[in-house]
Order: sequence, then C-alpha cells, then structure tokens
Amino acid sequence: MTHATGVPVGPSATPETRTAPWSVRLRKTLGPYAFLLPKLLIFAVFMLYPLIRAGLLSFQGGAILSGLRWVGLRNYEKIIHDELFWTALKNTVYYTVLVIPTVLVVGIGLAALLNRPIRLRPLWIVLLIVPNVASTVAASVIWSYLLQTDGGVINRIIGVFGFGPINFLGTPAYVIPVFVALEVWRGAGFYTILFLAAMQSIPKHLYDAASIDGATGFQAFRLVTLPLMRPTILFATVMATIWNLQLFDSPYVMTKGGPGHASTTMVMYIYQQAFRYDSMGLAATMSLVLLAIIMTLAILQLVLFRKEIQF
Amino acid sequence: MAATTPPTVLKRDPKVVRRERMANVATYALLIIACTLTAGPIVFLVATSLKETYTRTVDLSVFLDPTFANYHKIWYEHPFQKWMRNSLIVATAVTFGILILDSLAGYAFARKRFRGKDPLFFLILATLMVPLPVTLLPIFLLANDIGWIDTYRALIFPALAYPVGVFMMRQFISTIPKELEDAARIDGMSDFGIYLRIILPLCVPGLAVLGLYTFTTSWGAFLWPLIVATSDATRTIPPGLATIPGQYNTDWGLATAATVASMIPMLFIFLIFQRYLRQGFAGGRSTKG
Repeated sequence: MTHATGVPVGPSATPETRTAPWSVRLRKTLGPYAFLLPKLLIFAVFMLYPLIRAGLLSFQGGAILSGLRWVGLRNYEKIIHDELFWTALKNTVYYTVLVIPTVLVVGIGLAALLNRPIRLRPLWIVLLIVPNVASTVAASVIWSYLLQTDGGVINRIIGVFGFGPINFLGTPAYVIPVFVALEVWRGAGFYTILFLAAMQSIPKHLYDAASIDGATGFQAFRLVTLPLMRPTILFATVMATIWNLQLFDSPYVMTKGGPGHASTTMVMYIYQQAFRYDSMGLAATMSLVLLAIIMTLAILQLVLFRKEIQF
Repeated sequence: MAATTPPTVLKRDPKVVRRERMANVATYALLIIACTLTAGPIVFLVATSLKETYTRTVDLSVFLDPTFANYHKIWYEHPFQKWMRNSLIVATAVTFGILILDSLAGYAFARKRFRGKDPLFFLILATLMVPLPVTLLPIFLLANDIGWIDTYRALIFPALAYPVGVFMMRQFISTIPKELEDAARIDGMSDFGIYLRIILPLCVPGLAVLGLYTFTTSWGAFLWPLIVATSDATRTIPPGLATIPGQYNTDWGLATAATVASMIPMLFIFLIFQRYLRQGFAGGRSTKG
C-alpha cells in the first residue's frame, strides 16, 4: 500500500513509479485503457457514431437509393404538423402512464406476499416468472390467440358470465389496455424478483424494532419496507419508463398499429417512416424527439429522487 | 419470518393468532390467483399446440391424448428450424461477447485509476437512455454501405455496444475484497492474470445474471432482426414467429407449437442459471461472507 506512507507527494510521484523503468510506467498508464479498448471500440462504432449520424440525418431528406440531401429544419417542421406523429406520441404516453404504476404495484404486492413466511416459495416464484421465458413476440402470439373474438379463451370465459364476445384488438378503446395487460403478464415476475431481492436485503432487526414498538404488519410494510425500497423502486421506474416508451413488438405483431391508428406507437411510426416510406431523415428526427422525451423524464425522475442515488 | 421472532414465552393473544391465520389464507389465495393468471395462458398455449387440428374448443383433456404433429410440421416442413439455429448462434455469440467486453471494462472502471474515468463512465451509462431506433437507423445505413445486410455480423456486433453490463460488472467487482488482488500482485501476478484468475472466478454470480439478461434480450430481440435479417438464412425466431399469425385463417396449432418451441431454450437457460440469480441480484454481497 504505497499510498499509506504519510507524505502527500501526489499520485504521480509515488516511489514506485518514480524509480520504475519507462516500460513499466507506460504499462501502468496504458493498462486500464487496454481493458477498456474492446468495449470502447464497439461502443464508438455502434453507439457514438450512430448518435452523431442520427443528429445529421435529422437535417437530411430524400431516400436511401436516390441519395440523401440537406434540407435544414424541414423535418422538424414536418413532424410538428404531422397529426399522425402526435397520435403516435399520445398512444405511447397513454400506454406508458398505464403500464408503469400497474407493474410497480403488482410487482411490490407479489414480492410482499412472497416475503411472508410461506410454504413452497420457489414453486410460486417459478409460476410467477414463467411468462418471462416468452419473448415479447411470443407473448404477442399467445395473446392474439387468447383474445380471438370468435372462440378465443378469454371471450369464452367472459361468455360464461353472459358478456358478448368482444373484439379486443379491433376496438380502439381496448387495444392499448391489451398491450398493458400483456406487458404486466410478461413482466410481473421480473419486477417481483427484483423487489423481493430488495425486501430480503432489509435487515431483520428493523422489523423486530417495529414490532416491539407495536407496529402491525401493514404499518411495518409502510414505514420500514417501502422507504428502504425507494432506490430499487426508482431504478425500476426509470428503466420501465425508458423501456416502455419504446413499445413496438406487441402492436406490430397483434394489430399493425390499428384499428385505424389507435395503437400506432412512436417506434412503430418511426419504423414505418424509415422502412415503408423510405424517409430516413424524418424517421431519425422522430427518434431524436423520442430520445429527448426519455431523457427529460429520466432526468426528472433522478432529480426528484436525488437522495436515493448511490453509485 | 418476522412473525416467528416475538418471544413465545408469553401466551399469544388469540385475536392476533386469528388475524395471522386470516393473513395466511389471504396470502395463499392471492398467490393462487396470480399464478393462475401468469401460468394459465401457457397451459392453454401448450394444450392447443398438442391438438391434431385446431378446433375452436380447446379443453384440457388434450393432455390425455397429445399429438406432436404440429411440432413435427414446424420442425420439418417450415423454416422454423433455421430460425432456431440462427437465434441460438446470435444469442450465444452476443452473450459471450458481452460477458468478455463488459467484465474487462467493468474491471477497469471498478479498480483502475485513469484519466477521464468518470466522464467516460457517465457517458456509457447515459446511453442507456438512447431508444433503439435512434442508433438502428444509422447502423442500418452503415450495414447497407459495408454489405452487412442479412449477415450474422450485423445481428451480433451492434448488440455488443449495449452499456448496461459495464455498469453491472463494475458494481459487482467493487464488492470483491481488494486484499485478494493485492496478495496476488505481491506474488507477481500481472493485471490480466488477476482479472483472469481472481476477478472472473469470483464474478460468476454477476456474470450469470448478466449472461441470463443478455441471452434473454438477444433471444427476444425483434426490431433490429426485422430490419436487417432479410432472409431465412439469418432470420431469428421473433421476426419469424411474427409472420405466422395473420388476421384471418391462422393455423393456431402451428402458431402455438412454434411459440412453445421458441420458449423451450429460454426455459433451459433459466433453469441452468436460476441458482445464481439470488446471489447475483444481491450484488455480490455473498462474497464478503
């Protein structure tokens, strides 16, 4: 431990480096970068360069084959006046606003149940997390199957209670809630495991103290468990926001954005602009707007809960 | 657990006992409802896939007399087998790539001191916020320019840039006691030797969680393969699967069989890795004993 020698001589002048030959010193300086280099190379080519190129693309118009040309701010003007863009934004935000509280409440609730002294805990966990082995596309196929109007499992179940068959995927008011249900079904297990791990890392003596003070189980949950889980809840909220604002897979598979444009999401509209209408510039502009929205929300959440952040 | 700790010397208030029993009944009731909702659809899915021809009425008696005709069909008369192979190749390559790159970078960020460390780490972490289409559109143009369309390379390399593993590995490696490294360094072990022989073995739970996460993500990736895998030669399962159900006249027997088949490798991966999950999620605290 060379740093414990007492005399503060600065980091570059420790006895070790002063006397070492230049080759050793070089290795000490470059060593860390050697560990970083592989990731940084990939990161530069497939993250930083595309980010810059996306910025440039947003000022370009034209098709890929005929060649891109500079159009100034025209893409930005276009999307401001594009009604469908605003519809897509509205649908995406509506979905996200529904899905995040639901998934948090369900996840924390199930974790609280599993954290009680129960039998067969591993079995319950497996049953809760089993939808997670389905990819979003697989889950979309499953739910297309369950939700068929004519003879689908769900329509047969509600038929027993005397409700007529509902065309879930063909009714504008129902499509977004269907995607919410799908995401909660597929994701609940993951959030549950995340919250359960956080709950189990809370020291037992805090609960003993609460119980000596006469707290009921529910009070202990509200006054001990929830406050100590705030960092995990913050993490889950930020990641869920970033993830869910990019909803694409289930609407693409189940409704292709329909009926009408009731389930066209931001990423779906970007995909269509880029690969159906060949408007890369316009698509890139929209994707940057989505980035701006995500960054604003993520930073807002991080600032609101600043004291929970610990690196 | 908390309920068993109060001193049992005192006779317990029957009111409290009754309330606890009610709470237990409610717990199991809620768990049964939740698990029916999560696992129920999978039961119907499997049931339908085991029926010879899809009829509107699927009852669970099919489990008594299952037929694997649908599975036979998707495996031998359908490009599904190719998609499965492509998915396995791509997801395996991405997973190992990420584990290597991110554990190396995570080690540097956790243990080394170098110029620009904090800004660089912050930059990498900040790209977590970048939505997929922002980078995928330019990467598509790039892939188009260098002839990468419809190649494995195009499916693998962009996925290796994803930042979350660097963060996870840095967090995990920071919890490993430093004394072990110091001892090895005194014995003359090189930096890379320390990474390979000391850090990596102690990181297994963290690597398992990152590996599971990466494999799951890669296995389920849809948007990028949909764009860049233009033929069955490289098409992975998700974009393939998405072509099966049409609005009308869907062969649900086939669609459900393909869906179940797409989930089986994931199921195996989960079962293999699940014993590391708890350790990994606990952030390596267990290495401190």
